[in-house]
Amino acid sequence: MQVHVPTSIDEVLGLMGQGTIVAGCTGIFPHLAPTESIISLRKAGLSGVETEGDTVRVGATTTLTQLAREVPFLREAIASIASPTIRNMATVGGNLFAPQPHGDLAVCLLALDAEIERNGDLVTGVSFKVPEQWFYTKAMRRKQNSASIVTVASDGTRIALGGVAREPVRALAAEAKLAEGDIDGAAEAALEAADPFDDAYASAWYRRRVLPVHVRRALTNAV
Amino acid sequence: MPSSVIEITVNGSEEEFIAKPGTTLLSALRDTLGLTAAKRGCGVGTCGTCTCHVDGEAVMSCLVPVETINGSDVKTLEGTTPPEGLSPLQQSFLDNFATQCGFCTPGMIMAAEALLAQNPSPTREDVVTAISGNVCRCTGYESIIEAILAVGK
Repeated sequence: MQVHVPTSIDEVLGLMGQGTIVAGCTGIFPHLAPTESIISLRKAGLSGVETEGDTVRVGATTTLTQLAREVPFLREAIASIASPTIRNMATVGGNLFAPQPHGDLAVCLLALDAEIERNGDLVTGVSFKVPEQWFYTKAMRRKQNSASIVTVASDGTRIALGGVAREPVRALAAEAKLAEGDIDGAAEAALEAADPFDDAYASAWYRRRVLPVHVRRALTNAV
Repeated sequence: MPSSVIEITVNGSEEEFIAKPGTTLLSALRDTLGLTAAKRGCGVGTCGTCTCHVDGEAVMSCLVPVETINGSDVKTLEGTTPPEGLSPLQQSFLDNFATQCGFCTPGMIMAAEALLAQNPSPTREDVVTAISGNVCRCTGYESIIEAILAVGK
């Protein structure tokens, strides 16, 4: 195996295909075979948060800790992800690839209709607008450092769900109900977007059962 | 595959050594530098017993390929121990019976050091959050929380 530590985007692009791309090393890295090469983005200059007006641009290797420091409305969501030690390492770009029921930031980015910046196959950053309203709730087995049973993120128009499908999903039928001001209807309609799975945290049955409750709570900001 | 020369500062002393590709910071500390306070528990970032500081931030050293932090400043539990006696946190762990089997203790103290460096007067909630990535399988959390709170001002 080899560990590549490129120091520019051009250097990263030249190395593509010669190993697995890693950044914070909290997700894929510990599960790689010892023979597999990695390309670390740690020194590729992709980290940082820039705010211009209401638009926020976040470099792919910005850590969750850095993002929480700079973008206050996402603090609650970020605090629900893993532990402070892992948040010091895990990156925004990496979270996009975290398999469900992890990847709660990706759920938020979906609700924000964030744009992914790419250079070829390399994610270099994401950008989004700071919403006027923001709703977030995550049901988990413990108060902290646990994967999602159900995650709900919404800007009051779009609704994104985590924990209830193999990927973060938009709940389009629920959004239509919400546009009519029907929160109870939106909560029930969210089930149309769900295709939950069983895992060590919860059964598919349970996720289905509690999804409307958490959508309703998120949208009424009861949590 | 070529090994690399790693130069990092560990507990204030400059270290230079050769590492095989993919060596983690944890195994470099333990096997190359002989600093065995940080422990290998789970190896996947879940248990926190390998917690060290890299450039001032707490990280899981089992998840850090050491080539990626060349040039960095690393601090381990050994680096918090004064030449004589114990650090305030170490003394407080002793006074509050916060150590049972001791396996989680180095990670707990390094997570607590990171918290107190940023927030010298943490609330109970802050302490619970700070050690939420550290598992104590003796389940002695209460005395650990008390020990950390006792050092806070």
